[in-house]
Amino acid sequence: MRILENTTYDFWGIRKVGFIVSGVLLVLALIALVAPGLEAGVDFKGGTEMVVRVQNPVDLGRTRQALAGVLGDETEVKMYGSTRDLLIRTPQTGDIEQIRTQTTQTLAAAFPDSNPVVGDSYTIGARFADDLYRGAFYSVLGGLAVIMLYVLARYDWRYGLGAILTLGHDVIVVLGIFAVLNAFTPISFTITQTIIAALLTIVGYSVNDTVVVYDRIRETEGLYRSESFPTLANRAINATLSRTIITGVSTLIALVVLLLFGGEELRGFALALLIGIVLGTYSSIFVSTPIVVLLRERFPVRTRAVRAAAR
Amino acid sequence: MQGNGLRIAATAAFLLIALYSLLPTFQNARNGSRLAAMDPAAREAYEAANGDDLLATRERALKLGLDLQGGMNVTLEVGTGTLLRELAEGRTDETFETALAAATREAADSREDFVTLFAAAVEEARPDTRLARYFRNTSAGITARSTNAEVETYLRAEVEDALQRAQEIIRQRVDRFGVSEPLIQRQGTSRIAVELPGIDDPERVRNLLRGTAKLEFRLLPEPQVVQASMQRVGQYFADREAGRTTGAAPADTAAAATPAAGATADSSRPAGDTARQRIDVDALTGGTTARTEATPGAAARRSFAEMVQLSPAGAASPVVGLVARTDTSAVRQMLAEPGVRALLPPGVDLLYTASAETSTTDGTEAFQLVAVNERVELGGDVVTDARAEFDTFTNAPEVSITMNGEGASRWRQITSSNVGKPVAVVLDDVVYTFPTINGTIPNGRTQITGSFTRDQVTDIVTILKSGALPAPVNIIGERTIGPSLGAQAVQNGLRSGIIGFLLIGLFVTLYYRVGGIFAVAALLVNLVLLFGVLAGFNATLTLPGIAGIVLTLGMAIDANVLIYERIREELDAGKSMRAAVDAGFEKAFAAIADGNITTFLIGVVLYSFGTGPIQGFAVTLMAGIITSVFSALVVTRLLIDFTLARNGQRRIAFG
Repeated sequence: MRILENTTYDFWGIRKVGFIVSGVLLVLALIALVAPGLEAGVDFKGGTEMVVRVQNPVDLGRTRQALAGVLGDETEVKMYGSTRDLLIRTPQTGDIEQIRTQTTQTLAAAFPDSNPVVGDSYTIGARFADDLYRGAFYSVLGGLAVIMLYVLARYDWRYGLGAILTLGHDVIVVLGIFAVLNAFTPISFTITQTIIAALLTIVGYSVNDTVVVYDRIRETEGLYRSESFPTLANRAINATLSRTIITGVSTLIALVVLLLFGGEELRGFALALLIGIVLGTYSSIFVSTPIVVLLRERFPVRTRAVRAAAR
Repeated sequence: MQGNGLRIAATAAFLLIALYSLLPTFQNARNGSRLAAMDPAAREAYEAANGDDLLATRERALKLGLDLQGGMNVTLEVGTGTLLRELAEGRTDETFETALAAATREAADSREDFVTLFAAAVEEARPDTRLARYFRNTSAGITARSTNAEVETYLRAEVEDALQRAQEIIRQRVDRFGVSEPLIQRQGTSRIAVELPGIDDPERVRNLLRGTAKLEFRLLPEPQVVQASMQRVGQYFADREAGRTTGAAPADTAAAATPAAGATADSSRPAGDTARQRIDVDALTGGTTARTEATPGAAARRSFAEMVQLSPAGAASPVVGLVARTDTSAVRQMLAEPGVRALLPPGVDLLYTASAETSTTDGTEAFQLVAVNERVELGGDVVTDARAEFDTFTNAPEVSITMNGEGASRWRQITSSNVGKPVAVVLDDVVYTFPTINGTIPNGRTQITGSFTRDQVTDIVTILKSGALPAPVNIIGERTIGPSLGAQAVQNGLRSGIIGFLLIGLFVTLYYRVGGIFAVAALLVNLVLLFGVLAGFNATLTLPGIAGIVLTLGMAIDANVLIYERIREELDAGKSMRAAVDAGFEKAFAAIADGNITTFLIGVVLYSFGTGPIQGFAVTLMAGIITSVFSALVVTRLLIDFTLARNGQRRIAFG
């Protein structure tokens, strides 16, 4: 079977579409990052998270109200997979047994036939959370730096800059989507260590996709001397298009399966990666290569012939 | 075909090594199901006979993380502040206390270690202070003339030593607890992470881990005096709560209409105050945070009279009241207020009893509040041995302790001069029992009774025998996962893996035909190698780790895709099958290498900065990259070459 074989799409010709789409996405993402903004999860903020199973579905609003009385006004109640499982998040830390008892007692009092049982619980003290936050911050920063150094070492600086700008684009847009999802959908999309891992995996995937195209450009540069750089870049994207799509689809299959069958705990992780892989695939075609072409036009490379002449 | 000998050898060798590493994992699974099938008596006998074998197999098997088998993960922090105060041996002054408080505050957002912060804080509080004035210790070579740098080095060594001792003590306690594969690790400069698989009683573990085993014998104050002052305390709160509601009325008419709401809104300030006070107190002592840290909301909403059921005035009992389990920390805070302390007789502490009883009016679990003297008559340092025993008459579990000579003589003195009076046995600021002394106890042997369960007795003995922690530890992070949820997670992960594998296999086979089948074969080899690497390197499989493997399935195909696309291009360009395959592998290599190296580097970064679950993910990601590159470059190549050599037409369908 062959799809997207020997394509000759003019990606350079429609670069403006890509830039407009990316520009709009970036602006929207930046707005979303300011307001509503990202919400730090228990990992980075400190607090307690519990999964409570109830016998009969309960009203979330009333549950929240009842629990606010004992656990404080910042207590959040969300559905966790089924209508019988509640995810309760509160800034309280400390005596976990007490928080658990208070929760079950309050729920039992508010909903007499609910028979609540606390399953998993997760508590992180504020100071510990600060340290985890720092760790996550450094790992994202470190990840980006390591990639930049690698690409700079392997390629011309224009490619390095192109790869980093693409990654910045991906990270900002993905985070923006997280903020929107968290604020406007019932899905809880708080930033936790797992989401940071997903973010870095997205970075890795996106750079992989980008590098495949760059590799092809560099390889064909020597073969077709007479062609202009934009044409070369176009040819490279088209030549790798089939690979980009097949790998993307394979990875998406794995992620959709994870999303559907992986259980509640992996849902956020799988969704984050799903969004990131789609975005990473898009950006390797519409963002990273056009940037390099633009950089080449702005800062031309002295070809061997020119260099020889200058000597 | 040249070089294929090496490829065959490498593939066979790696597969064998991987299967060998996985052998204990299979054996362990088989042991598990065989044991589950036996009846309890047979199982016990079998376990006794083959205990070592079973354990060895389990230790070498691929480990499941807590999120997959259920259990508890606790991160403890050792209270360095308390340790410093203990090292100062009472030579503290105002500067010391100010500096200690400042250092504790700063430690929250500083990378510096506590000793450095403390030294800087002392310098700031009173410049040119010699640290040696607090920490003189001739046996450690710290004299009044020691420089601050020398003292700091000494303190750092002491802190490090305390942390190591704490870790060792915690290991002993956990070992006696009987958890199958506990994991106890140092984290940073002051933390200890403990992983306990399969725990179903988190509260017991918490008490066991943070129990400092501060055993004290204290006498009790005159009951009547204490009861009378408690009545005054009750009145004090009744007055204040009434005054607050009426006081709020003129300012806020809405609050006057609903007094309860008024009280809530108004009391947020005092609650905030006590919360701050609590933080300061805890910061200084470094201890008991977990017990006292609490819910200002709850404290503000209920009155003292609602939370404390006072004993009648003039009662001859040392028990001054009953407090429901959920109110204990709120009441503790209220009783710590300076206004309340002033009403209580000097030198008296109000402590809770260890076990709850269901005896309040509405039938909820409640703890007794007991008045005991602040003065410690005898400390736990005299205990030489502790044993779990059963009372000769009632058969109730009890803890029997033996004291050293000095302790025994002090104990004889105390008991002989207080016959007929009660003495409280206080362990970690909780009153376990307060029996009446019936007569002189001469030999330093004594029993701690109480309404203990067998588990409780075992735990107290464990704590007493493992010795006191050098400094109090706080639980700063905790995760509890139910075993059924863990099993569910394993099932979900397995199911996702199998479905993902089948779908991806189907997809690439449809797209690349024979090439696709080779890719699936390579993927299978990849999975075996990946699990082999994980088992061989003693990695722990976590839920994010499984996610990493499922993700690897998708990404591992990438290398094959890159190669096949190249081969197709070369074939289209008119090359022969042989030449196209050679060129395809050769030209795809650069892209494969670049892409995988960058992802691998990400894995390294994740591993070095992340904790527990993230590290699990990073490990599978890195292992997956190595195995998938090997499978794609070597195994696929081998399959293609082999087919080409046997196939007369020398053609393979690449779709």
